[in-house]
Amino acid sequence: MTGPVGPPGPFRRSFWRSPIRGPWLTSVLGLALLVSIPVMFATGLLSYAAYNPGLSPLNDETPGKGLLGFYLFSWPTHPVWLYRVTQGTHVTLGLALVPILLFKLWSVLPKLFEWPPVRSLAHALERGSLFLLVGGAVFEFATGILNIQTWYPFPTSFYVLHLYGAWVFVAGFVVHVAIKLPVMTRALRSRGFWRELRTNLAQTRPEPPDAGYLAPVAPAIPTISRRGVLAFAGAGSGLIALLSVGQSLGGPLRRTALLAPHDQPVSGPAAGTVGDFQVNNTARNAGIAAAETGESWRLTLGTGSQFGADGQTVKATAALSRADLLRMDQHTASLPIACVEGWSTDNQTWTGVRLRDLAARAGVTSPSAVFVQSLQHGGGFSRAVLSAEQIMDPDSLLALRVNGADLSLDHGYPARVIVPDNPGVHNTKWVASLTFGS
Amino acid sequence: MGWFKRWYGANPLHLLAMIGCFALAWYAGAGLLHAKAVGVVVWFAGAVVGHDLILMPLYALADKSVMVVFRHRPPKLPTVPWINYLRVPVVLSGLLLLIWFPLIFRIPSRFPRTTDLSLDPYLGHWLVVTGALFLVSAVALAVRFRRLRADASGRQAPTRDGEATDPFQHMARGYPEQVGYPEWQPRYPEQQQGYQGQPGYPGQPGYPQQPRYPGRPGYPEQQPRYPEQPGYPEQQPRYPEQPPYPGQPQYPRDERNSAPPDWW
Repeated sequence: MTGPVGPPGPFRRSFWRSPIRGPWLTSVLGLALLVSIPVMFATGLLSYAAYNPGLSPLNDETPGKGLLGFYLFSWPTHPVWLYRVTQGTHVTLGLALVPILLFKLWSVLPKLFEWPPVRSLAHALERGSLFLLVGGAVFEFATGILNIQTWYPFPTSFYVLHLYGAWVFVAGFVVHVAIKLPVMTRALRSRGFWRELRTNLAQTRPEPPDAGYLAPVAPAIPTISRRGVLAFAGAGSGLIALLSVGQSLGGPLRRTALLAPHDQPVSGPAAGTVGDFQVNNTARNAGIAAAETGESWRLTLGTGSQFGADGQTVKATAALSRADLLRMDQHTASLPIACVEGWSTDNQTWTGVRLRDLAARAGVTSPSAVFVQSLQHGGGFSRAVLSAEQIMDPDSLLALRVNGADLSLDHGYPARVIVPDNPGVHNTKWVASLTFGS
Repeated sequence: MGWFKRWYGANPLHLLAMIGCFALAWYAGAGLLHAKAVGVVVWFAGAVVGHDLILMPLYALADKSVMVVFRHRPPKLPTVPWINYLRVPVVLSGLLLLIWFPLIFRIPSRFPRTTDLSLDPYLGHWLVVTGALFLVSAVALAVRFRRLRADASGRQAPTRDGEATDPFQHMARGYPEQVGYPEWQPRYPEQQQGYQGQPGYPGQPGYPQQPRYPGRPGYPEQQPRYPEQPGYPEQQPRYPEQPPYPGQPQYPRDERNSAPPDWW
């Protein structure tokens, strides 16, 4: 406990007086993060896999990923709520973890000012890894939270920052868990959890000063109990989740998401119609002119290979008008729209032509992939490549109608792709051509 | 292995874990830095500095200031640890602002154009939620006061040796904001010498012979000021279970009056 005395101020242990700071409190908050961060990481990796980045460079927002894509697999199409659940969890849990993370960082703040700053090579390396951990955590939460509000003050693409940042964070996280797990277990055993929950303010006593620099050597009188702090952090998490989860649950609960981007019913001409569900790219934003979607619109079917790569070949085999498409076998599927930003809609009833029927029409019996090109002028996600599994699913449609009415312009009139479990941005709207790989 | 531990400061597994950590971070970080090195480093370091050296000190300072400002008001009502009734709504409302400030402050973004939704409602929503939080907190505090008062008037004032005592005596100590809580106690030997009430200037009658400032000749030996310095005097016992704690009952006998609200 005694050691060299640091310069006056935060470098002295006596500066840190909170009587509730200590290894036990830090460990409880740490345990909550230990359980949640792997869920965040797993759902994040799943979301990256859902874009099928291995299928074509056109799908890959982070082409430099190298070995970090080792786990990628062909994203399934069932159950149809899968992406809705994984991404809703990723975003809502992430928001709810903000108070836990901040309380945890508060509980370990004295360690930032540890004196001497470096005791040994091991200590120096460990503090370096904490820079990755804390920097990575705040960086990941900040980029994610700003992205769902579509505000991009970042230096580069969100996908690049959030994916690579996640691996830097996880590098720090894993090694921190490995080193601190025994310390955490010991600290949790040092006080009974239930007993602590029965301990009121008057009975609250500081933890004994520890080698880890957390508990105070000169504690002040407590103004809040340990259970009070835990309830405080939990109340913060609960409040944030309560005010945002509605945008993922949809239906009447959408209105309860008072502080979340997609809490409002759709306004404008779509309000009150069967098509009044959320969009993330309006026709106005995509630069779609009315003339392009009128009578003269044709869907170009074709065959090709190597989409997005050097040897790309594309050969048009048919051009269909909307009337031609409506004359083909129509199929109806009930599917949600689920966005990478965490919001989603209830199942909508889509009607249109199956993608596999269109593959046959293009002259490809067992397509390996399909390259979907939108009328959109530039901008991200004006094109996407879908996998064989996604094409062959009976619910994968080139939708012409939704909920019994023609698609509205904002929902992709004259025709859009809708594939079960596909991230929203890959359900391309205002489709201009479908090129099937054979 | 002893030499390794002496040289490195931990066992070899620790070093292996560190190498693994930095290798992975390097590999992933290369992808980041490749994109736009300076911007990314600024964001990463900014995340640490912004949180640890700006946000946290501001929060601590605000908390401390509120405590100091309100502590000295003469309380007309029986006091309770009120600070948490302020802390909770302020912090919860602040968390919501921290997360949603781009929406709340209507920072120009792609949002209205891409979604056809309006940025207008969020400031109102945030204010309504903040108002509700403060309202709930105020009601909880009022209920707390009421219970205390009802408790005090419905109960016979306890007597000791036949002498009536202050019904709030049991509340008298224990929390800094309570009546009778000792304001300040000398913590360091040179403070205990206390010149209060003594003549201020040399030459005045009764001015102590001893020099007043450290460093002047004749000033008593400097005592250690911080607990981690060797020779620092034993800490005064602050809690009843620490012997030798002063005999008087400093902690409430009746827990109902001192316990935090039930939902705590």
